[in-house]
Formats: sequence, structure tokens, C-alpha cells
Amino acid sequence: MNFVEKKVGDVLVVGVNLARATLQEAETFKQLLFNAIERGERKIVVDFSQCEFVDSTFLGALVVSLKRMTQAGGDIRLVGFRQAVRAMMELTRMHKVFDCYENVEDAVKSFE
Amino acid sequence: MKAFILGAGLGKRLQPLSNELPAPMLPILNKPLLAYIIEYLKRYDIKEIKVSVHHLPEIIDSYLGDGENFNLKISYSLEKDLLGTASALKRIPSFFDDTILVYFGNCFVDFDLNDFYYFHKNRKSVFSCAVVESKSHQNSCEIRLNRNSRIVDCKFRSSGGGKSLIPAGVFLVEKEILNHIPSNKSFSIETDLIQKICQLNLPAYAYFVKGEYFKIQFPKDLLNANFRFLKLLSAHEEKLIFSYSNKIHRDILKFIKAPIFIGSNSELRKNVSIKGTVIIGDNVIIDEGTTISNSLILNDTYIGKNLEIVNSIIYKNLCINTTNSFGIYVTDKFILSPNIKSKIKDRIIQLIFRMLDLVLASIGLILFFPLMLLIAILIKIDSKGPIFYRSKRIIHPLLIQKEKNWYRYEPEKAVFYLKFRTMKTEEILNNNVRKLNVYDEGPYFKAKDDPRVTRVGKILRRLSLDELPLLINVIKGDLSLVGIWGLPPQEAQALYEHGVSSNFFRLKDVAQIRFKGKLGLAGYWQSRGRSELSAEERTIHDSVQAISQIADEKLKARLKPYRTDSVKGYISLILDTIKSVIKSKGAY
Repeated sequence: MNFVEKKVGDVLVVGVNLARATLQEAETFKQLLFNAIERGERKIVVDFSQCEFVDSTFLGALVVSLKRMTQAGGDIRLVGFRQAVRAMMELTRMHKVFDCYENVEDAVKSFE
Repeated sequence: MKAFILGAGLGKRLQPLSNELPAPMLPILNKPLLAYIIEYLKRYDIKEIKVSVHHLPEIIDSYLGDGENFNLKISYSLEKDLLGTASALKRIPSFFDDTILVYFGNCFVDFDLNDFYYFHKNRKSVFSCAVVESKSHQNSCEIRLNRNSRIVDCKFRSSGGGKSLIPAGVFLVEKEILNHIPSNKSFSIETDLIQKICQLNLPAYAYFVKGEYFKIQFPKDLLNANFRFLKLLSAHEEKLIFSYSNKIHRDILKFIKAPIFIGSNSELRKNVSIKGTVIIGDNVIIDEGTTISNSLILNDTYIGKNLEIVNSIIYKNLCINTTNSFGIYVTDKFILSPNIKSKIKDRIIQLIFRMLDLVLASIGLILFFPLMLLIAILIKIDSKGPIFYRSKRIIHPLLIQKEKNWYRYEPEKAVFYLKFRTMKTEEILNNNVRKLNVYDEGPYFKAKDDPRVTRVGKILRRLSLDELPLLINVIKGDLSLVGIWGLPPQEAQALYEHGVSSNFFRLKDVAQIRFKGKLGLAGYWQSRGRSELSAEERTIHDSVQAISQIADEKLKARLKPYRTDSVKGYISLILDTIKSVIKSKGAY
């Protein structure tokens, strides 16, 4: 399973079980988030703690999903950046677009 | 005990210096303020530190990393919005196990932390604040105590005289305090939280600090902190010149009066004159005949010939007069400029890619020459006008920023792309054409079935053959085979100023990043769908690509999985783009 969905209260936690999150899985990932938004999920946490590398296609899928989610009045929050992913998020200023937390626990709490 | 360092702030009063460096990274005797804070915390056996970051987080992150070099465990709280110092605590509930030490990243306090801790525990305090007595308090919170040092009140004062107690930027906090911080609302520790604690009558105490204390709020505070530390250093050591440099011109050495601090690999050339207290960082060049008095010159700066610098802070091409706090970015590289020389290894890598560009572009031109000749003839037969079209593409748009206390001007940098003409010469971009934009959000523009396109042009565009003459640009060195796709002036300027925006979603800071990168033919966006992608996806592709080209050594190491400057990455991006061109994905 590349993506693991888990519900914590009313928050949907999506774990990305890929060392390299790239082009091949980005479309599936985008559809997964789109479907979740469609069925009414408004609080989503995406956990990247398994990912050494998240490519621009994958990040693009995230931004498009966030746009859709913002329109629906919800939020997608990100957790678990490894060093390279964190550096990329910081340098591209994506940290000003996504609300990021260190772990799932803090991110879930932030929705309260 | 764990410590939480607040390093997220924009440092508005420190602008324009804080445009370049976050407050905790401002140097004192050539070492970031943060280094002094970390050393201090380590002295009291603190092993785990979290740092809140928001403004230029990569500078703090690449200095501290995950803490291995410091023998510490360091993590980060990446803040999306700056909601206030107390709100920063609310974001990290899982970090709280026992009492937490909170340290403001723009302050330095040296006092007995163990004593502060016992003070806090003995009084069963839920919130303790280190305080100092201040004579002048600008923009700070004034604390009132009862006889037992219990905090009873606090007020914010923008100005005023007379002695008063102000927080020194160091606090001890219990987890239960989090319950009193509202979510999603800006809430500061100084004033908001302290007032709330007083209202609720919670046990909160103030601890008097008798030690070194300073807070860097304005540029002159940084200058004074440097002078103070140099004075302390010269009092402890007999040496009057603290120099790690071996490039000081012999003639001037005898005229320099101490104390003066010169970092490593810095160069003072002939007839340079140093007056008063001067601190010079690493890798600085001060050229012939220049006089510097009571100033601070930060790392990697070149200062031109025959200049006079007084009471100033200089950093690369930025000059701040500390008397009136006014800053200006100098665009003349002979006066001030960044002194960054790329390493031999980098130059060799650059050379390899330039050679690859030249060889591959030449082969391409030779192979495609008959086709290009045919295209040229077809264009001439099909419609009136020239064969080629010169399209201006922006490397960096014009930048003019005028703020209350600083000014910045940077001229536009552009190249002209050589393309086959695909449009009728008399047609212009009008509103009817604008409506055909495939992007639902600005500022990118690409029309499907653009009425201005000629018959031959339509085929050329579909097959991307109109771009073939760009190989000439590659040979000229205007752009590389691999890089970000250059934008025309209008799109570039709008993107720089407004980002990609709609009513409810905006990407501005992310969009600006593309202008840090090199232009090229093949790239992420070009190979992954081009105009089939949304404006947001395009922005992300371009920004990620710009960052993956970045030259900074430390960042390079951290961004390893993202690097495109390997021959493999270079070739695979070119192949991916060719594949995408053959499939005509998103080419209109």
C-alpha cells in the first residue's frame, strides 16, 4: 500500500509510504485527495515521514488539492519532513502555503 | 529540560538587514547570535532544542541542521503565518513534557540558568520571566511585581522614560499554560499571555537578571552588541588585533589602532584606513584608499576604492547607516558587491555543463539544419514577414522597493529568444485573444487555437519546431539546455509582483523563486505536461527547479536528492522533455 488512510476523530491522516514520492504515484495521490475532499473530508493531514524525496509533480498535486480544499473551506496540513524535503519546502517558500507540523499528533491537535 | 528558541520573526525594525538574514543569524564578532544562545544552553546541559522558523528558515536550518554538529537534538516548527510568540507555543504541544525554557532568538542573556530553574520550581510557578531593569524602553512590555516577585500586571509601552522592568526574552513555562493560549488568534507572550496569567491569578514570577543582556531590535543594536563583545574580548586577551586574515597590506598594519576584529580570508588593500572600532567578517575585500570608521562589515562583502564608511553596517551590496537606520541596496558592483567566488570544483562542473550544452546544441543544429531550411522557406511562402521572431524573456524582472527606511532598485535582466515566426505580423494581443487563455488564473498566458497564428505556425507550435533556433541561443550562452522556461516581460513582471492568484488562493513567495534560477530549454515543467498543467503546478515545477540549481555548498548537500547538476539528471531531463515534445503534450 503506497498510501495509508486513517481517521483520527474527524481528521483524515494520509500516510505516504514511499521513499521516493514521484511522478509515477502523483496522479493516484491527487485522485485520493480529490476523492477525500469530494466525500466531505475537511481536515486532512498528510504524513511524509517515510519520504526521503518528494518531487515537484507530487508537490504540485498537493498544491492543487489544497486549492480545492481551501475553496471547500477545509485545510490540508503536512507533517514529518525529512531533511531534504524540509529544505525544499523552506527554500521554495511552500511553508508559507501549507501549515506544517513536526508530527501527526500536533497537526491533529491544531485542528481542534 | 528542553528549550524552544523563537526565530520566526520578520525583524521589521531591522529591515533592510533582516531582508537578508533572520535576526538570530545576525553576526556578533563573526558568529551568529544563535551560536551564542546555543553555547549558553549547552552549558546548562540542555540537549534538545526546537526552533520556530518562518522568515528565511533555510538560513537557520542550514546552520543548525538536525543538531549533529552541536551534539544536540534540534528540530523545527515551521510557521505558516506569524501569529505571535505565544501562538508559537500552542503549535508544539507534543514538545512539552516537563518545564520548557523559551528563549527569544533576538536576545542574548547570560545568567545562572540553574538558579532560575530552582527559583521557578521552588515557587511552584507556572510561568517565570527573566527581567532586567531598563532606563529607556521602546516598544516593550513593562512588568509590575508585588513584594514576593510575583507578576501582578504588565503593560505595553511604545516609548517612555524612567526605570522599569522589562522581560529579558527568557521564560520558563509549564504545559498547562497552553490551555490559556487561544487557537488561530495572534497572541504574544509579552503582554497578551502575561496579562491573561495576571487576570487568572496564576502563580507567575519574575527573576532578576544580573548579567550580560542585549536585545537586537534596530541596526544600531547590532553594532553596539559587536562593539560590546569586542571590548569584552580585548579585556580578556592582550592581543589588540583579532585577525584571522593574512592579507592585510603591510603598510597599513602599523597604522591600525586596536581593538579591531578581522575574520578569516579577508583582505585589506593598500592605503586602507581604519578608525575607531571596526569589525570585519570573513571573506571581505576592502579595496585601496577606503576609510572605515566605527562600522561593521559582514561576510562576503567587497568594498570599492576610495570610499568613506562611517557608522554603518555593510553586507554584500547593502549599506545601512546606523545613525538614522536608513538602508540602501547599491547596484554599482564597483562600490559594493557580494564577494563570492565559486570554488574550483563548481567551476569545473559549470564548465562540463557548458561543454555539454555546446556539443549537444551543435549536433542538434547540424541534424536539424535541412529541416530548419525547409521551415524557413514554408514560413516565407505562407505569410508576409520575417522568418525569425525575437522574443524577450526575463531572467529577473525590474525591482523597485521604496520603504520608510530603505530603498532598493534592481534593473531588469533579460535575453532575446530566437524563434521561428508563427504569427501574422500585424496581429496584436487583444482581449478576444486573452479570453482564450488555457490557464484559469493569471499571469501565465497560453492560447489554444490562437487566431493570430499562421497555418505553418500552427504545425510548428504543435510540434514545438518553432523553438529550434533556440539552439543558437544555447550556443551563444544565453540559456542552457536544462533550465526554467523563460517568461515574456508582462507575465514575468505580473508573476513577480502578484504571484499566481485567485480570490481564495495565492502563491506569491513561491512564484518569485523561479527568478533565482537559470533559464533553459528542458526542465520539469517542459517535460511534465507544459500547458496541460495548472498555473499552480507550473509554479511549483519552476520553483523546485530553480532551487535544485542553487550553488550554496551547505544547501547543495542537504538538497542532494533534488540536484539536477549530475550528468544523469541533465540527460534524463533532456530526454523527458524530448519525449514530451514528441507526444505534443500541452503544446498549442
